[in-house]
Parts: sequence; structure tokens; C-alpha cells
Amino acid sequence: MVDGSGRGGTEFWGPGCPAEGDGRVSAALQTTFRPSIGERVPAWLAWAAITASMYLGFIYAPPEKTMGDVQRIMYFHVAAAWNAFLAFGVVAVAAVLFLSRGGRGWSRVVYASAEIGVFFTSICIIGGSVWARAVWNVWWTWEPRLTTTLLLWFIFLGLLVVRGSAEGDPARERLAAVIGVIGALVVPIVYMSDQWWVGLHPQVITVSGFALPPRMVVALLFSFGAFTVFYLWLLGVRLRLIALAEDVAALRERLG
Amino acid sequence: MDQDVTAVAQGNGSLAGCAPAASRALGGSLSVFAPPGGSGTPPLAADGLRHAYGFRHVLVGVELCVGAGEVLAVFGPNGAGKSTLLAALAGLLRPDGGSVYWWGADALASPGYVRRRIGLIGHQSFLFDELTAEENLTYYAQLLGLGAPAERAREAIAAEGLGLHARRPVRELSRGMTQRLALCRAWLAGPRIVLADEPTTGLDPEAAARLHGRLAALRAAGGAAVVVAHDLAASLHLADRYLILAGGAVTDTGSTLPWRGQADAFAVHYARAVATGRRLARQRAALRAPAVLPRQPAPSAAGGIPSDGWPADAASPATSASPAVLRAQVAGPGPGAAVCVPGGAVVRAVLFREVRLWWRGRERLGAATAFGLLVALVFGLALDPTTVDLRPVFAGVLWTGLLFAGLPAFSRAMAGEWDNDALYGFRGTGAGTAALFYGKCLGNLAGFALAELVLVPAFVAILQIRLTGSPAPVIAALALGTLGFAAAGSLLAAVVARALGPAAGGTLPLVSLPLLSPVILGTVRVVQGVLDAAPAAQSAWLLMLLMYAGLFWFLPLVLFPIVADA
Repeated sequence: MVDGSGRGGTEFWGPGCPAEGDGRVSAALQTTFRPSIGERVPAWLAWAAITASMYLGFIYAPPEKTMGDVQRIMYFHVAAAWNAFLAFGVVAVAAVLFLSRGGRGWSRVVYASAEIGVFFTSICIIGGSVWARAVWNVWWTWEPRLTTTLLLWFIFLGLLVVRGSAEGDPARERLAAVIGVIGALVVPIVYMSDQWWVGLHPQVITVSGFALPPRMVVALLFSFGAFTVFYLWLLGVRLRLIALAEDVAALRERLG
Repeated sequence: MDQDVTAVAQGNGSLAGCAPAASRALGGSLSVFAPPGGSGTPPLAADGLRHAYGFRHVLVGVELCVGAGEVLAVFGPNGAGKSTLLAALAGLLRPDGGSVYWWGADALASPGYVRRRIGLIGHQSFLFDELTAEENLTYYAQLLGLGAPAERAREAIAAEGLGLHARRPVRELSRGMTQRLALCRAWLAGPRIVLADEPTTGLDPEAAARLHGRLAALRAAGGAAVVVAHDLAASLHLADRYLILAGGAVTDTGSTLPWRGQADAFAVHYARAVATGRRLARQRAALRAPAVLPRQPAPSAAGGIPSDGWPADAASPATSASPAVLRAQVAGPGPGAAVCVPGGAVVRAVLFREVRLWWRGRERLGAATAFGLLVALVFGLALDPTTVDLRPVFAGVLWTGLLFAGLPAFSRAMAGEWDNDALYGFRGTGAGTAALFYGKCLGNLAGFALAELVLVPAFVAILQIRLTGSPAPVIAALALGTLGFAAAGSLLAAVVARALGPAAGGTLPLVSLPLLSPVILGTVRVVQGVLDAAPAAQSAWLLMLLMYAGLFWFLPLVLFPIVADA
């Protein structure tokens, strides 16, 4: 009833709910703890796809001529960047929907997707840093795309600070959504930064297609797909956990 | 014992414009809004109001109706939801469920000229401590679109007997005087519905008598009032009807007439009704009852007392009153508020108020400027401009100082809007909150520009920067950055002040600096480009600065009302 839908138990305790008495309450919470089929399938899919993308990235794709094997970081670095953009795109859409239509569900999506976005931005920055050390001989450089990506990371960290302090207050959740909307307006700079300013960062995806050999394109596209499934699975899990935390907070409030 | 309470509620429920509560309890088929003598819909009604703060349910299905010429006293223990109910009745709080109706029209959708006839006296004064009594009332008169606002303010103050204190800042006034000024503010536009949260707090007997006179005049003119009070004996004489709120629900209502002169008996009656409300609330909390009360609780089965309202099968009180009919109903004696207050007038009123506030708090402006100067000194000491040419780092260092000076000042200015719940007062005038933002933003811009007049030359002197060529391009670049920073900084300071409250200080830079970065980085690069006499190299940054500065001037049109309503 509740599992896998990403929506928790505020409906659960509403009028006509079967929960009466503490025994029923704990039973109800335990069912929410258990992942549903709808959550387990994407989990298996995500792990299978990531494993396959590792095969494609490490074995199937040829090594790059100048950089050698270290270039294989790209399949995870670029896919993580894609997931970060995807996550922040979802934050923007969910934030607009939450602000215009209301509904706790959208607010949870803002929270969950921003957290996952920060996670993938971190992977992207760390992976990129290792790669930069190998090919540019520096861990970090003040190159536009690097700088703007780091800003993006900070923007969504700020969003998480505000959203994390909401404690079920819809007013604060709306303010977090406002930050999400403003933050999403900064994302285009990150993407366009390499095209507006001359930078060191290579551009593998341009308006004329992929500037890569076909096998590398296959491995990269597959890792995009694998990471997307990974993102969707994480989103489902996080939504359920947020709903569960809200159930617990609501119960705690009601029981004093 | 509960039956006694119920009997009282049933026996004395008849009101002007609203059907008696007994009609439902007795299964009567009277329409709740059957008007006495056929005169119009009741001025104020609420249907199934529900509201929760986070996971705490404050109102769980409150229904009430206040007829023309009626004063309703709301009693209840602390935390019963009285203030929340009043905010919802004033149309300042969007309830989670249910609706409030003013003269039969949905309060949240009511036009400004209706909203301006609702007088709200809150727990806080809605006044600005740094402004004088006269300035405060003039400001509100301007927002209400009243002609000759300064004279109206003076008249109101004199009528309340505060003439000698008109030029004193509100922070110097006593609690009682502030409360009297708050009453003047609520009555500025001749309200037709008055909603008062403990209005007699701090009032001396003379002022209390004057308040009674105001309410009597309102009653005689066919207006309506809801008064939240703890003084049972006095309120029984003041009001026509009472309502007891406990545990977020109405547990009793009835006429005050039989109780007048029997304050002790009523205190016992009140205690029983509160106990009933608490018992029901405990039952709900223990999950034996749903979190939200059903629309029509069964009082006999639950041992409760019928709430004041209409039968479940009664038609909604909302009527499709035409604007002309609504205007006629709202119209009454008193000066009356303007039908329309242009946004420009609101922006001007807020800007003048902001400039006054900046001036009154000029020591804060001085502190912010000193803070910026300190940054220049630290960098000057660390980098030693006598040996190193600091021109390449000048723009970055300058904006670091400006940010340090500006952000906390903006945050304080924005937080001031929530001091004494002044924002409630603003929204109660029906003025758009976007106009509030632009007024404040222009005020911040003026304050920041003033600080820059000191800081920029000081940075140039301390860091020993020699400008080659005309300073005009540098000034233009700084002005563009300042415009963007004022808008973006004001919006973000409001978000952070609202989201994190007094704890916002430490978190302000974390949340706002990354979002400000397009404007700040753009300004730094453009200023640097101009200093290096290579502006073309920074054209992409200029484009970004223009884009984001423009965006942050338009974005608040949509986003600030959300921030303010939160």
C-alpha cells in the first residue's frame, strides 16, 4: 500500500485507517521498512547495468592514444556528471511543481533528488580530480567548468541545509524549493561555461555529435543508461526513507 | 456534566446572520445563513478549518459564523489554536483545509478593497520599533491608499490620546501605548470586520473603555468582530456570543447574555468545555480517532459539545456575489480604504520607510562599512602594496569586502520585516508582497551604494591602485554589479532569514554565496577587465552578469510572494 510508491504514511494515519493502538502502529511501520518489488527490480537492474558498464568501460572500449588507460575514468566521470545534471533537473521540475501545486510528494522529490545530485557531483569532482592529476599534473585548476561545477555542489549543499532544517514545516520546504529553482538557473552556466570561456576541459559531446571512436561511444552511452537506472533506484529508496522519517516524526508528535 | 454544557450551547445560539448552533444539534433544517430580516450574508464565516504546523495539528475542523452587528469572543487555553484561527480568519494564513468567507466570498480570493476593511490586532503590534508612532501610521495609511496619510495618522493618534507621543519611536513607548497605537492602526481605514488577539493587553481602564466604544460603533454599523480573550468576565460583557476552542476544535458556543454577571459559573463551564476538548484531542493523539475531525462530529456519541457551524448538508456559504454587491456590503461608515492602491505607491511607501530605517540604524551602516574597511586593511597588510602591484587582485579583494559589508546588512534589513510580525500588517493592507520586495530592494541598494561611496575610494587608496584613463567604465561596471547584488542579495537574505530564523547568521554565506556567484564572479571579472584595459576579453562575463542581474530583478516577482507567504 505504501511501499515503493515513494509516498508515506501521512495518508496512512488519516481517517478510516486501520491503525488503532500501538501494536498496529509498529506493524504498519515494519511493512514500510521492507522494500517492495517495485524497488527491488530497479536495484537488481542498476547493479547489473553498472557491472556491464564496467566491462564495457574497462575491457570493451579501446584505450585512448595519448592518455592511456586512465582515460577510462571518463565512463564514470561523465556519467556521474550526467546524473548530477539529471538530478538537479528533477529538483527544478519538482520544485516548480511543489511551489505551484503543493503536495508533500514533490517536496520529498526535491529533497531526495538534491541529495543524490550532491552525491553524483561529488563523484564527478573526485573522479575528475584524479583524472586531472594524471593528465594535467594538477589535482585542481581554476578552469571554468571545474569552478562552476564546484559552485553547483555548494548551491545544492545550501538547499540541503535549508531543507534538512524544515522538520516537516511546509513553509520551510517551500523555501528550499525556491533555492532549488534559483539553483537550477545556475546549472546552464555549468554546461555552457566551456563554450563561453576557453578552458582546458575536453568536450566529448558537441552539437555535431560525439567526438569519440564508436566503441567508446557505446561504452559511454551504456554507462549513461546504467547510471540513470542507478539514479532512479536511489531516488525510490530515498523517497521511501523520507516518507518513513516523516511517519515517525508525525507519530512522535502525536504520541507526545 | 457535559449535558449541562450542551444544553447551554443549544439554548442560546441565535445570531444575526447565522443560524443557531442548536439548529444542527436538534436536527433542524434551518439554513445557517438565513438572514434576519433578509439582509445579506454574514460578514465572516469559516468552514471546516484545518491546519497543522509540521506534524502538529493545530486546527482540526473549526466552523464558525459571525453575523452583522455581532461580536464573538473566542476563549481557550494556551496552545488551543486561537491565534492560528485568527490568522486564518484574517486571510493571512492558507489553511490546510477548509475556507474562510468574508461576506460570502472566499477570503483568500477577495480583492484588496475587501481585505483593507479587515482590521487585525495581532499578538504583536505590526509596528516598526525604530519609526515614530506617526511614521508608522503614515506608512500604513499610504499602504491603505488613504488620502493625506500624514494627517490621517496624526488625527488617529490624537483621537487615541497619544498626541504627545506621536514623534517618539515605538521602542520608547510602553506596552499599553504600543497596544493603543496598534488599535489606531487597525482602525485606520474604518474596518468592517475586526479580528483582535487579546486587544485589552496592557490597556488602562480609559483605553479599554475606548476600545469598547470602538467595538460598539462597529456593532451599530453592522460590522463584525472576533475577539480572542482570557478575561472571561470582561469579555462576556463585551461580546454577544462566545466560542470555546480546545485541542484545535470548537467544544462549545453560545450567547453570552445568560452568563453576564455569572463569571464564576461560566469559569466552571469553561473548564468543563476545555476538559472535553482536551479529552478529544488525547483520543485523536492516541490514534483512536482520526487526525482530522470529520466534518460533522457526533457530539452525543463522543460526549462532546456541538461546534458552531452549519449542518453538514447545508449549502456552502460561498455566494457568487458580484463586485458591486460585495462593495456595497463592505461599504460602511468611516473613511474607507481606496478601491485600488497602485503598486508604485506601495513601492514608494516602502522605500521611504526603508530609507528612514537605514538612517535610524545608521550605526549598523557604519559598522558594515567598517567591516569592509577591515578587509581592505587585512589584505593591504598581507599583500603589502608598496612592494607588489595589487591591480590584478583588486576587483576580487574589493568585492570580498563589499560582500562582507553587504550581506549581513541585507539579512538584518530583511529579517526586520518579520519583527513584530510587521509582514502580517503589510499583507493585511492587501498590498502585493512583490511591491514590498522592490521597495526594500531599492532601500538596500541605496544603503549599499552609500557604503560603496566610502569603501571603493578607501580600497583604491589602501591597496594603492593607480587608475589609468577615465574612471567611468570602472564605475559603470561596479554600478552594474551593485544592481545585480542588491536584487540577488535581498532575495537570498529573505529566503535564508525566513528559512533559518535567528540562526541564519552562520548559514547565510553557505546558502547565499554560491547562488550569488554568477553576479559576483561576473562583476569581479568585468571590473578586472576594465582595470586591465582589456574589456573585450571579459565580454562573456559581462553577458553573464547582465543576464543574471536582470534575472534577479525579475525573479522576485514570482518567488518573493512565496517567501513572504511562507
